[in-house]
Parts: sequence; structure tokens; C-alpha cells
Amino acid sequence: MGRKPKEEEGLVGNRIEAMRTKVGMSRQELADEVGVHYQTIGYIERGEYSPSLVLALRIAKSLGLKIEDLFWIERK
Amino acid sequence: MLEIQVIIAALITLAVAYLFLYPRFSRDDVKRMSYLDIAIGVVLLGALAPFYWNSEAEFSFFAFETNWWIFTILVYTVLEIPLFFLYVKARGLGSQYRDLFKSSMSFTTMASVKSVEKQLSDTKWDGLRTREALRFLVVGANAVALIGTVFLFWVGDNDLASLTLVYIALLFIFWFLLRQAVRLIPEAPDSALDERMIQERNRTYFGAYQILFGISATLAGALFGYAVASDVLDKGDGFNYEINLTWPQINAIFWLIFGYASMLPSMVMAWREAQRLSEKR
Repeated sequence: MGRKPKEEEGLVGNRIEAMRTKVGMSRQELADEVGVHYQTIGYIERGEYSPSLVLALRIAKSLGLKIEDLFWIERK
Repeated sequence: MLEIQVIIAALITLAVAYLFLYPRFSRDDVKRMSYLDIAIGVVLLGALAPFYWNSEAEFSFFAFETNWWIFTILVYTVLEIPLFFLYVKARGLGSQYRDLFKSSMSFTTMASVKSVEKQLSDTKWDGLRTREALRFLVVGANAVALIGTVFLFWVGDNDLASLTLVYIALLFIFWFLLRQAVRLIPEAPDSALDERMIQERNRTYFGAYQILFGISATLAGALFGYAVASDVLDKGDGFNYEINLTWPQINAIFWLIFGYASMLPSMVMAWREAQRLSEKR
């Protein structure tokens, strides 16, 4: 069984922006907390980049949420 | 003996450098010491220049005859090497120097962590990061490289050949602007980037390698084709081939390969970014 082509994999959907705004955190603050550049948070929020499991767990922890409450797979 | 004068000047310079300047100003920072070393060498050349500039004087360096400035550099280097090793050993700078040497040998990660971090939060060059500007830079860099190559193959031994310098300057300008546009990411070490940027940089290199392979294969194929064509046209004996190249033509080949090898990663990243911006619209 081969690997699915990238375009068929679907992207990771998330509600980071809504949750971040809810707790009053800026992109920069969240980025500093999870150890990435603030632009990367923007890429993830817009669904342009799917974070690694480690980064996803860190973001969820920073926002005080469970990973499954923050991320889901978005099928095309 | 002209040589003795230069040797004495070099010894005095080295004494001042190693007994006063390095201990006081380099503060055991090997990079700072390297810069100081270059500056001190330039000062020595500057101090000797009024005496020997435009002179026909010849200097003997072992079996070779040479001019004043080459002799000065050679003497300075030969006298400095043992002093340098003694100094490095005495101050325990060996590991620092090895690290510096290793990083200067790794041509693919030329940007320092500090310079990349500065670029990542820089907004001064944002004008280069729009879709149109990125496309212009990529198309412009390719146009310069290709038009320059054709021009150098065509130009003969005349005044127009001096335009080679304009071509080289343009290549460097595009190289510089492309690097700013992509925030030095293609040249950055892992420690300066986060996971998304590392992924982006690695994808960029895969794309750049494929294109560079195409260019190298085309050049190698042209050489092979030339050999075959020579045989077909009865210009070769089937084993020995003659290729006559002018100095501008050598420059054309050198700068085409050098230009693409150094600019391609930034070009690929800039083009991808322009596409991403297009899709966002």
C-alpha cells in the first residue's frame, strides 16, 4: 500500500485563532511559548501548514485545551 | 637588501599584533581575531605601498622572483603561522578555531544564526516580498544570467568586453536582493529555523537540485555533443579535441554555473512564495 499523494491527504483544520483571541494571546506570545516564529503560527491558523505532533501538542497545552479540541483533519 | 626591509616590517607588525592588539582587542574571540588579522595585513601593505608602489623592484622568495606586495603577503603568512599556533595553544582557542573552520567549509549554510534571526523579523525589505517583486526578482535574475552568457559568448576582444563587470555586478545585486526577499532561509542552519521553515528550506533544496541537475546536464551534454559533432565533421581524430575559448567565454561559463549554484535556492523559494501569495488572492 503506497503513501497517499499530498493533495489527497487533506490539511489540518484548527481553531487556534479563535482560542488564542479568547485567552487574549497575541501570535507573538503564542509563538514564543511554543518555540516557533510568529509567522508559523499564522501559517497554521490559515491552514497553510500542518504542524508536527509535538508542535500541535505544545500549542494545545499553551491554550489549555486537548489536542482533539483544537485540531482535526479537513478532507477536501 | 629589499627583502630584509619587508621582513623587518612584517616582524614589527606581528609583534605589535600578537603582543598588544590581539590580547587587548580580540578578547579570545576567534572571529574578531580573524578580522583583525586581515586589517593588520592591509595596514602592513598600506605602510609599504609608498615605498614600492609602481617600482620595478623584484623580491626573491626562495626560488621565485616576485613583486613587493606578493612578497609581503607571503612573508607575513610564513612568519605568522608558527606564532598563530603558539598563540592559539597558549590561550586554549583550538576548538573555537576548528568550529570556525568547519562553518566556513560548509558552503550550504552560509548565513549565521544571528543574521537569520535578524532577517526573520526584518520589515525593511518587505517591498521585495510582494508577489510581483518576487516574480520580478526571479525572472530578472534568470534574464541577467542568460543574456549575460549569450553576450559573453558573442563579444570579441574589444571595449565591449569590459561590460563583463556590469554583468557580474548585476548578478551580485540579484543574489543579494533574492537573499533579502527570502529572509536568508535557504542558507540558514537548522538552529536558526523552526520546523515549518526547515521543511520549506529542504523542499526548496530538492527543487533547486533538480533544476541545477538540468543545467549541469545541458552543459555536459553540449560538451559531449561538441565531441561527436567534431568527429562527424572530420575536425577531430576521434580521441583528441580542441576547444578554443576566449576569456569572456570562460567568464560566461564560470559565472553561469556560479550564478545559478548560488542563486537557485533563493530563486526557487521566492517563486514558491510568489505562487503561495497568488493562491491566497
